[in-house]
Amino acid sequence: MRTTCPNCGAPIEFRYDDSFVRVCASCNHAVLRTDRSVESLGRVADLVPIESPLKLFAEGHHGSTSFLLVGMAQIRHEAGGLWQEWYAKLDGGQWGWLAEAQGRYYLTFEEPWLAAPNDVAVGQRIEIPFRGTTRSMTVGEVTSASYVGARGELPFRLVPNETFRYADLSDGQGTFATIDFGDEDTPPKLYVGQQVNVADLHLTGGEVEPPSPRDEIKSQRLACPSCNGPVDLRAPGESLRAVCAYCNTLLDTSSGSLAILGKLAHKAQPRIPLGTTGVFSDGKLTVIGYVQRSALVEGEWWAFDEYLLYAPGTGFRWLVESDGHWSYIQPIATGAVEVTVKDVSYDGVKFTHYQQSQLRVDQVFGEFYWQVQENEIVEGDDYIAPPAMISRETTKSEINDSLGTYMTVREVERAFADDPNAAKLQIGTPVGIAPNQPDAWSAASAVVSLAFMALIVLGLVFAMAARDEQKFNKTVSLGGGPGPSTTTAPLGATPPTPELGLADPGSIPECVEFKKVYEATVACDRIGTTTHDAYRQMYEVTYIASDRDTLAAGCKTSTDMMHQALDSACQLPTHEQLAAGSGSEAGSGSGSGSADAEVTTAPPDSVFFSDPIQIDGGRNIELKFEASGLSNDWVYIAADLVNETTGTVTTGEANMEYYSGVDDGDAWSEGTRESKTVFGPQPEGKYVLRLEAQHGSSGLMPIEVTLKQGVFRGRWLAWAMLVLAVPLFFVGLISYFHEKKRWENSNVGKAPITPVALMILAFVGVFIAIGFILKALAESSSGNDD
Amino acid sequence: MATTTEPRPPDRPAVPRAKRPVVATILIVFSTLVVGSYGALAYSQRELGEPDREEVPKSVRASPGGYRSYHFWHSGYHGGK
Repeated sequence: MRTTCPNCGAPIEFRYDDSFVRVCASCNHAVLRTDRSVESLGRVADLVPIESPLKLFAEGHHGSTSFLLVGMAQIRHEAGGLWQEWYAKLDGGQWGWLAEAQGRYYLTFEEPWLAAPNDVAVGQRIEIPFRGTTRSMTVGEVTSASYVGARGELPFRLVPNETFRYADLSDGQGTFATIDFGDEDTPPKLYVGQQVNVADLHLTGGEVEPPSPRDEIKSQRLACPSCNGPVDLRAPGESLRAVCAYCNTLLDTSSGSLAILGKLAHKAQPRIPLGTTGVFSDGKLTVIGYVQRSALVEGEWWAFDEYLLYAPGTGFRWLVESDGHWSYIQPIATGAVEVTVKDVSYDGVKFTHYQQSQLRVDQVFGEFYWQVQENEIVEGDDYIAPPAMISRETTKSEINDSLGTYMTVREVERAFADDPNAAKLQIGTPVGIAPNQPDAWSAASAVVSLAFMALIVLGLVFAMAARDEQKFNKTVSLGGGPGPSTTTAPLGATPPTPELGLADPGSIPECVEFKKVYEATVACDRIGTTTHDAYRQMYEVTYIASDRDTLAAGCKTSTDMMHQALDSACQLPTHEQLAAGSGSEAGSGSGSGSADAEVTTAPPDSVFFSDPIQIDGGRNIELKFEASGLSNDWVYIAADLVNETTGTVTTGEANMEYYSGVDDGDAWSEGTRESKTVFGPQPEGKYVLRLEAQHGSSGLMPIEVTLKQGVFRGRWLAWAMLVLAVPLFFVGLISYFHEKKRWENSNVGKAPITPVALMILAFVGVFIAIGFILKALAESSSGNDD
Repeated sequence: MATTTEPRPPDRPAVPRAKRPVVATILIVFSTLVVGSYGALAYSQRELGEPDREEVPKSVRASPGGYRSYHFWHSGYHGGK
């Protein structure tokens, strides 16, 4: 529809049948189309120049639908901020609202909502109709605004400077909604859509080609109306406040020119100069503002520094420094943070409430996108999940959530490394523990804790899987004092059957005499060790099965040699004495202990041979000895497993000693009557168990011998637990004190249970390990493992 | 198969995860060694250190009561008080 402006008569055109207002390009009057004619709603102000990638009549795409930006309005927030709203006519005839504020873009469409509320509260969750379903959204802001400027064709009745109330909502997943409460005569309207990236809109054309959103920051230099000094605006059109670096005057920049608001009480001196550029996770950003704020904690104000960072297309970010600790701050959509009873969660991560305080603005410098002023106070809550921190700032009309990421001094230095002033920056040194400072020791203790638990589980599995199969059990009587039996050649429990003309030396009188004489040499203490060894070797090579004549001759020769050499030093039994039987007791080493019916009487020379035992391959072998009659005595057992097929002998030992008594009326005892020795897996086959024993008194010692296979070895589990318990204890301790120090500065919480639990686990683990070790050592001292 | 990552909505920055400290890496290796060594030892049922082994010659074994008289007996004083 073509018509003329009712104010100036200039031709105007309504291109779309469903548009309401056309702003006259000649006189800036908002012209309303009615059924019968057109009328002026008043003059809109000139547009404040705002750097934007959106241009009137630019074409764009939303998914598969193309649109044309046919109108726009500039809207002033109640708090002074200015944002732009663009009106997109889609291919299908639908209108879309594309809001542009602080580098963020929201594309919404009107959604019918008959049950729209007339009022909502900040933080309230509301079920919003959206594309035929409902979506739970959180109210982030409830405030009012007014239209100040406009251009093009508009799909609603825009009255210049008319104030309207609205609420912004978000579900934290990118869905965004605005409830326009309108006036008393019109019901609330709902607009629902998505936050979008401007690059995804693929904008082309328009009155001027849209600049790339990644263009370098373009600053604007204005003269301070107070001192005429230059004031650089690095975010022109976005900034509402600026501070003159020369006269410290706070200036209003919202109208595109500078207006004096007043002198600031304190002149701020940021450590990072304005204009410094750094590279952060969102890209290259420029420091454009500095605020020193304080947190009121337990009656005291604690100062910290905030640097406002900006890049066109990215928007605003923060770099916060407190006690030398740095955090990079990104904004979060309000509905993205879920509030639980005490804590919050975001992105699937639970954040623990760390601090609740009032935050006050102490000093400002540079430029800001809100109407900053000294002594401005908001309520602040910090929630931590190191290295992340959620900060929530709440006013009566608004909730702002942000995500902080801890940065080390090195990371901050690296971020600013490419700036020409990098070398002059004073990044500082951290003091104490920051709320969101990661705890390296916590991660370390978690690793060892997991390993410790894995070890316990593994130990339990092996303990339960152990077959513990008994292969042999018998009580045998072994004996012999420490003298002759140590070197006496053992004789068989049952006389061997002569075969192939071989004779048993025990059946030959010369050899029996030789053995007695030899035993007397062993008992003789007037000859040295070397001599003893020589005669032992002579005995060993002589007293073995051989043919009868050879044995008889060999034994007689050896006996004569011993008499000849040792008669002068030792009292060796003579042939006559032995023949008379008086030497039969010499060095016998055999005891007189009796065995009951279950006892297999060992041969007098203290050696026991078992019947062949079937041993399975691949499983360990445990020999357990129990001398229940041991009292104030010791027993040493040499155990050999002889493979009948290969002849391989595997040797082990076991020691037991047990002493008791009464001292000053107090009974005491020490030692043990049990001992074990364990062999690793042996080749499968039949084995003979050979046992040889000594003990400190005469007579036979009944010893219960048990052979088991596939036994659980608690000793190795104990050692492994000890090896892990040591680092677990230390890293757990360090982590505990790290967390303790972190939470000393909290005014709402205490250190979470995790580090403490780790500590308890560490202590319990150590105690368990010590228990295992003591048990294993006790076993070790009473037996002779390995 | 190629995978695509869903782009994050605006104003939904990802929560940063703590970088794994060097000490944790060292302890991961150490713990794995300890647990692995125990597991291997327990599974194989082996013992640390080899027991004494000897071979009884076939000639001795072939003789009647051969290894009864073979010199694998043991010497020394092994206890007492």
